Amino acid sequence: MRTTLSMQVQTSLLNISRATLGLTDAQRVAATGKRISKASDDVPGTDRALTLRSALSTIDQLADNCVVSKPLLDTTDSALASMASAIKSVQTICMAAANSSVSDSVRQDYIRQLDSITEDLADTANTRYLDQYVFSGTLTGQPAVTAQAGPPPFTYTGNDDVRKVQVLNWVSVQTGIPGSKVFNFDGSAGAGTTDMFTMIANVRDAIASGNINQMSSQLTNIQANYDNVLSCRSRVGAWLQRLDKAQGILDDGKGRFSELLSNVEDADLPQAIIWLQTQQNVYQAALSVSSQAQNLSLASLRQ
Amino acid sequence: MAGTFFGISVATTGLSAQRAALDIVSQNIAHANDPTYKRQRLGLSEGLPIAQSQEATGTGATMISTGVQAGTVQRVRDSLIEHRLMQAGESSAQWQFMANSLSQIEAALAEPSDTGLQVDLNAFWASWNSVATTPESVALRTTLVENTKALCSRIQYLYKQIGAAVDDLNYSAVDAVSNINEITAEIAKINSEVGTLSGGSSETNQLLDRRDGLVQELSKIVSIDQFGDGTADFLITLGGRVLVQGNHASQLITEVDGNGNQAIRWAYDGQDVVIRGGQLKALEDLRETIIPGYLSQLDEFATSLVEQVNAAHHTGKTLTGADGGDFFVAGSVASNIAIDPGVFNDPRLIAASATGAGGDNQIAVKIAGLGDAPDPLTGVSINQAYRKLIGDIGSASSIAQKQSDAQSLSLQQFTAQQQSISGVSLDEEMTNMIKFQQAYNACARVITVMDEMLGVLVERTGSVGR
Repeated sequence: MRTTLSMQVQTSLLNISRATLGLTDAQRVAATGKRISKASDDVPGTDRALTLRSALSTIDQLADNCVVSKPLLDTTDSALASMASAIKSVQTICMAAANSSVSDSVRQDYIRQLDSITEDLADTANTRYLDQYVFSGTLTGQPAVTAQAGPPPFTYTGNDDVRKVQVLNWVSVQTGIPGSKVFNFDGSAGAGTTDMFTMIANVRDAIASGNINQMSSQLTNIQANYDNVLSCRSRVGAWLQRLDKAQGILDDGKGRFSELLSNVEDADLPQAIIWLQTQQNVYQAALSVSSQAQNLSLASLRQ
Repeated sequence: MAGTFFGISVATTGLSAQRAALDIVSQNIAHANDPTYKRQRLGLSEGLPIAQSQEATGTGATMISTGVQAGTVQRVRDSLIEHRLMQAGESSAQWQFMANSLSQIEAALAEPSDTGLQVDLNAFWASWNSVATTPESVALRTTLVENTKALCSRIQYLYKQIGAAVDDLNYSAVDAVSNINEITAEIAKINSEVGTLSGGSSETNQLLDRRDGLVQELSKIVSIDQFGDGTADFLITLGGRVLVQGNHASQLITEVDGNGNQAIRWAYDGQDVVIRGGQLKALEDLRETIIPGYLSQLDEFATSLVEQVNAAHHTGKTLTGADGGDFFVAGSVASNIAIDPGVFNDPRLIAASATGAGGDNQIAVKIAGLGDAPDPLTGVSINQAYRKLIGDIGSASSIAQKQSDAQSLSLQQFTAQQQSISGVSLDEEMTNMIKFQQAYNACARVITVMDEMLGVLVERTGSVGR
């Protein structure tokens, strides 16, 4: 084949151009640390990268859901603990008062204690977390219980609905428990039981009238309400555990998904640097060979 | 019968011919770096023979050449290779144009990165999720409104950027047509000039080289067919119609068509030009099919987002207890997608609740999960629809780049073949230069010898009588 000057020039240019392109690409990968900078670099890889980025965003959001829900449940848990303690106090007072040797002044003292417990319990029932009433069901903007004139002494002003928050793609956790259940307005403590406030009022009435039988009969109601609160608390505890578990899964998932994303998007740095070095060598070789080849001509030998 | 000075005369023709050949060598070397130049060769032929006398040869009368004649200057070329080179140039230019245009669209997408539309889309779903955790919070609702606004702006911007590629292509179409008209007018002018010159001259060859270069340039812009090598029979057709014939070139024009695009038409009858290849083919494909396809996909993505979110939103209740209305402006598409003005002005109108209770989050949870839920009509989720658009553009760009590389390689191979035949080899020209120089020297030596012989005849014969 006949070789001409322009063919030599063209070939040299082509080789230098290819070497430059390779060097530029190697520099981009080494400098950015990214294997994929645009979709056409690796189409399936880009699809995987977008899916993983979306999944990581979801994981961040679910982790955020856990972070936001946990204090709400913690507040609920501590309110329930306080309620259980209050009921236990009522039980203690009721048992102590159910004794014929108790004087009137002591009974009056018990009544004052019961009034104070009722007040505290009403405050606890209307516990708020970030302006949300935690025991009002989904009517979180209004108090759970409101005092009223006639029996029962308090009325439940929330609803029976519950709010669930997604903590994993396949798990959602209840972030509250409606007051109707906790305060036993719905009779969930069992047949023959009353709501917590009526229960205290009944005990108060019995102590005031000195009716020991009536006091004794309230002990079953008190125990049922106590058990009901404990049951609610154990549920909340289980949800808190589920949140912790979900957080662990999300942390683990985030690590794994980040690693997968890195595998898809990021360059293997040692490999990228070696490739860059190779491309630099190729470029230098292309320049050197081209400059040497261009110097060879019969014209330079002809005197 | 040859005369006394016949030998000198023959050698003189040799001197002239070698000098003329050296002139061609000089011209070839001067054009060594001219890509359109085709190396030239001087055709040498024998001078008209005359009869040599019997006495001179001793064998009877024979014919003897009167020397050498410099004939026509020929361009060394292979028309078949040039035709293939033209076709390779067409394909290479077409795919390169396609690859460059798609690469620009890809750059507008900025995916995968921390700044692409997907980031805004993820933030949108995350905001719904946040609202689901605390639906009573007006602050979180406001964040959702702001993130929705950002998403809408981003979708509109992306639509505008992809759409702007069509505007760029329309400008390119106008430029290309102007370029074609200039080239064809130049070719017609060359044909006209070549007709007035004698064939086989160096000047004619230079014009023909120029014409070949123009045809090559034209074929990169639009696929053409060329017939004939002369002037009167020279014909270029475009889509089956005559573009250049002899010294006449047909003009092309651009006119705005029904789609608002610059349609390329024949000036003389307003018919659309049938484009089969070259940059204009890529331009037409991008403008008529590929980019509108991407815009349509972006519209489908936006419509799916608007319809699905609105449908769920309508089933909910606002923070004020009213029935949920539109979350996005109903019927909006990618070019004008926007959050409902009522919701924008009052985030409490976001219908996160199914029951009307402020703490209920059922609708917010439902909407937050819509991203990966299959569209009831298409079966494709909103997130998938966006990923598919990115994948389709990336795939088309990748294919165009690979095709461009392959066609470029093919073009280089044909260019090398063409240059192998028509290009200037300095070594070859140097060798020829030595060859013609030595022949010139030899002719001069012949004249010297003849001169000496005549000198002997003139100066030494008849000296007895002096």
